[in-house]
Amino acid sequence: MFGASVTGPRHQSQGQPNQDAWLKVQGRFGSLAVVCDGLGSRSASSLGANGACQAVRQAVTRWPGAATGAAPADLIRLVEVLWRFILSSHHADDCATTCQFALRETNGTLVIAGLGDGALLIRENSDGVKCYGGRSGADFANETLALGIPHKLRDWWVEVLPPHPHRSVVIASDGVADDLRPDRLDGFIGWLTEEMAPLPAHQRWRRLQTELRHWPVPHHTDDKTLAVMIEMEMDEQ
Amino acid sequence: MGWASYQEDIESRFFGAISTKITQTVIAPKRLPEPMPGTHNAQHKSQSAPGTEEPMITLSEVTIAAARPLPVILLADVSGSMAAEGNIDTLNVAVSEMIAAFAETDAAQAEIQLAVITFGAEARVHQSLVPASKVTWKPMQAIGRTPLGAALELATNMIEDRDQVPGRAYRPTIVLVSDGKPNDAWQAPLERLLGSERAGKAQRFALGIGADADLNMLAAFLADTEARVLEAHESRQIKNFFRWVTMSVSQRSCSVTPNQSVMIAPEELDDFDDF
Repeated sequence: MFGASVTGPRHQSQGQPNQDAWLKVQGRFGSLAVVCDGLGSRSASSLGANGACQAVRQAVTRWPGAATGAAPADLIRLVEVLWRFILSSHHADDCATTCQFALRETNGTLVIAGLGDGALLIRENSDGVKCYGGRSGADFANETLALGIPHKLRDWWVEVLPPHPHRSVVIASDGVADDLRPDRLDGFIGWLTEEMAPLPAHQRWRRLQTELRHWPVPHHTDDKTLAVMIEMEMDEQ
Repeated sequence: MGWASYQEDIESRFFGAISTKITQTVIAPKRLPEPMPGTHNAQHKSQSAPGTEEPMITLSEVTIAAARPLPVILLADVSGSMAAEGNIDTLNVAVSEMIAAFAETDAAQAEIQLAVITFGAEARVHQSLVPASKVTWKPMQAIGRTPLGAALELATNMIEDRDQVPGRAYRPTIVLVSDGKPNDAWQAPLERLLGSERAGKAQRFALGIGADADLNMLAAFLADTEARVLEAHESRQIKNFFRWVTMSVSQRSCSVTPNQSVMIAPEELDDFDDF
């Protein structure tokens, strides 16, 4: 797993911190990658995004796992409650943030979920790319569902995917996802898995940061965050 | 700062706690020189992966080569009555000036796009939705009646079409200019526009030209008790209206929050005592 996050030109010019947050971690639950995008219009969205990463991490340690038959909806409920608990000293609305994550359990089962904009991309073998989540049909740029603003459990999207030996998972905040060509998602994942993944960790992190800072879309403004999870057979490692 | 740092990229916090198949690949890296700011794309473009003929993928190949759009849709009444007092000529000049101003706007956040839907002999897309800098303006002709309902349908369909107005676009602006009463059933199309998930979010401006303009219809289009229908009885007032629209849209495009309306009061413009 690897990833990177950079402050967008808008927040740089305003002297504000990166309001995206991301996390990758491994534990008894398996492997977890989280990307959260604090709403720029909220005063404590950076805290909210970091809190959401923590909430997901704590939730997966408490949730028995999809392999046990536990309901994914309960995992989401845990995330919601833990996020509120972690940020109990703040108004939830001030901390509003999107949240997307991928949990790869130890038996290979993949649990993916998200609330709000951004995108989670999955490529298995060369079967094309599936895109999960993203902006709802009625929304324009910078309009999204989020933790901290009124929503329902069903506003989350959740999928449980069986084990797969060759799977790449990419989680992107909207600063990245909105600018991707829909017909070139496979190329984007290829860029990450073939150009970035093989690099030594330090070089990869610097390179990814550089690429995100010099994002090739005119007038780009948003913070940008990527988390990548690549799965392959042991003998291919 | 993102929550995860470089250290986490080297080694996960609980790395080694449990054996999993997920790992960083250890294929011999295709090393690239560290790109220099501002030149990295040009550098990568000509490179090939070592030992292969396959050119490397670059980010510029997989990303959209345009800023987020800020669509502006003008609904222009081109009924025969607009020929009176040279109103159609004034409207053509005002619109062409607005297009030129949009094209010159060095927007920090968005690319202003413009479409023009005319309603006269028929409701039709006079100018499809393209970046303002790429519009080649063709003057409108005044002929026919006032089929506003059909024009509203075209506007709603345009905004609801995600191929034309994608999700990455900022909220559109709709500008309605009319000098008379509609001759078709316009209420249902207006309800559809106002009630639609996407078109209903558009920022709206309205101008009534001359004494016969249907101000109640224009107010219904705005559907906002705080918004004003502006009236023009002279050609300079038509030009001033478009100047006002131009400034409001341009300010939005440069705002750090382009989705929020920047409603400049007409009175705030130096010579806007006409309204």
